[in-house]
Amino acid sequence: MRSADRSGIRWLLAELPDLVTGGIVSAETAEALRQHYSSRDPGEPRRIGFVLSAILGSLLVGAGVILLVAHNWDFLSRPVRCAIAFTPLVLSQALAIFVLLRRRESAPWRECAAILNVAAIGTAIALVSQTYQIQGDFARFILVWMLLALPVIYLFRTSLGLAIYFVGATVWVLSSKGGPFFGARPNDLWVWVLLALGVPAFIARLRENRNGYGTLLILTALAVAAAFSLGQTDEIGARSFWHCSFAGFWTAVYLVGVASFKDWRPTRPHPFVAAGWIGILSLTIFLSFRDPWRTHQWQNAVYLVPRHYPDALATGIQLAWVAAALLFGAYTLWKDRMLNLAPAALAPVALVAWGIAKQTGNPLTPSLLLNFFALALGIFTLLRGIRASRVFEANLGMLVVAILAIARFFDSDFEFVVRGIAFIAIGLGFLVTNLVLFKRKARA
Amino acid sequence: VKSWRLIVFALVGVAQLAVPASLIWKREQTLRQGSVWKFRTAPVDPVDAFRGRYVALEFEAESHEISPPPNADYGQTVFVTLRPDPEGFAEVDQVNSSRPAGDDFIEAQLRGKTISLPFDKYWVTERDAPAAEAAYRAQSRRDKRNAFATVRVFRGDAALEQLYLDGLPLGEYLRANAAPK
Repeated sequence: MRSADRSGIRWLLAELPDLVTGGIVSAETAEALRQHYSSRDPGEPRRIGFVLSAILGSLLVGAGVILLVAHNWDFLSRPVRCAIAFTPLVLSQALAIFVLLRRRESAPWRECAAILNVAAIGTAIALVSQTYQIQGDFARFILVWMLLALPVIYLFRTSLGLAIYFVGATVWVLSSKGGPFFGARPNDLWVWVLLALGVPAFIARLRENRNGYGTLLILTALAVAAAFSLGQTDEIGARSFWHCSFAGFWTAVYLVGVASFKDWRPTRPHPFVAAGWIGILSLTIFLSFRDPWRTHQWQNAVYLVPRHYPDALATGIQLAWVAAALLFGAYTLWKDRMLNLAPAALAPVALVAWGIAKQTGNPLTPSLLLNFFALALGIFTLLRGIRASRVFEANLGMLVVAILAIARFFDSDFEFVVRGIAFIAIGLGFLVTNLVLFKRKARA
Repeated sequence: VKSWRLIVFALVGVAQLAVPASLIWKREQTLRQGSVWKFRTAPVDPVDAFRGRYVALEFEAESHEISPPPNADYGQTVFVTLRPDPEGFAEVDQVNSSRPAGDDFIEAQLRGKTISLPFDKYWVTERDAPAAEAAYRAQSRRDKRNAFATVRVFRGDAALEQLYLDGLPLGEYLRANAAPK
């Protein structure tokens, strides 16, 4: 049973006495329902609580030991310091072997053993480096650490460990600054390989517990890592193409939330739906200004047929994100016409706008296109909400229009009277929409 | 089914131990067999912020212009051989893009017409760090250049051995100049 149903079950059980007294269900039915649901007491809450307290406890013990050692660190000889650096690693390995032998079916034990082991790897390398004044660069330290952690993540099927791995990959790509590509280095593209190495583990978690919080945590870490990696890739590839690659990214985030996790919770959409809306809306509004299209780099920094390895590959990755968003969007449209796919249209719209900007070099047409898209998105969502009597959706549509209006308030040359009338119109729209919807709801 | 996981983890565990162990091994080699070079520190930028548990070092050898190898990229790893200057401090001799013969060279990063040495932090204990940083700064002023570091060099690896202020190792200097409390 899905863990999120618990609140619904609790509500239902609390309602039962009223339903019985109201004569809606019989006493037997109520009893049967009570039996049915209370026998299915899910182990989830206890499990999460146990995992959290186990992790917290081990971290506290570890921190205490570190404090004690650090206090006497100066008086220790080099061999003693090295021995201390290896101690947590060896202990964590012993715990890991114990878990593999005896507690392989227990998720808390697996999570705990894996996290402690992963932390101990980094601690050992860092302490040895400090003892010997080894400087090495930080990026390489993170890379070695993550590569050593990766097999542990697979062996122990840990969600938290996998999320940490994706965060580590992000830290790696961000810490390798100072290269020839506007701060990025060609080697940064390897981050996609790092991320890909973690994906099979993610798919396994997905199969195991699609709608669990552990899976959501990994998905979030993966999305954040992909965003930063894409930003770095944009620096190496066709720089001005970031308009499109990030349109593709946010579209993908939205589509994942809306289509891949349709049955996330009975009453709530997947958090990625909200994240996708925020991302798509922010990017749309940003691109609806003229400035982001006003760039001198169309001529020299944008080659759709780049010349050599790093920028060709980076441009390929950028295009792949746009292509993935378009294909995913088309597939979703074909599969399920009931979903609101209007926000996902940002990917093709941004692509067309970018093409126009590249061809003409004129920032007006692309920004106008994005304005029309925002307006259409708002009105479409508003009408969709009204038709289905969904107050939240209708207001979301109004909100899109309102944000667009505020954005234009800043850069348009309209008279104050025109702006005033526009705002009054939008405000009235809000009021009328809500009035109509609530009336309709009350009647129903 | 159980045993393959154990075998894989055993291999992984060995790799986990091998990485820090190899760091120790390489550094011990350098410390035992490397030749000693003295690097004079460069004048410190006084606005440079305090760095926590280490003293941030800069060296004169890093500010001298060198002739980079042909076709070298910015940030590329280069191999640097050293020579002593008249006062006995290390100077960059040659910069190559391939490993030179012999044991007495270090790996460094090319920064256009200068190089960046692979050691720029001297770890000290939390308690000593503020005093160490202040002392280092006082001894590395433009008019009073009395700080240098000894480095062991062996086959590309460079092991920072000791930081000297006013001719004394850092620890002794701090003890000798401790403010009476």
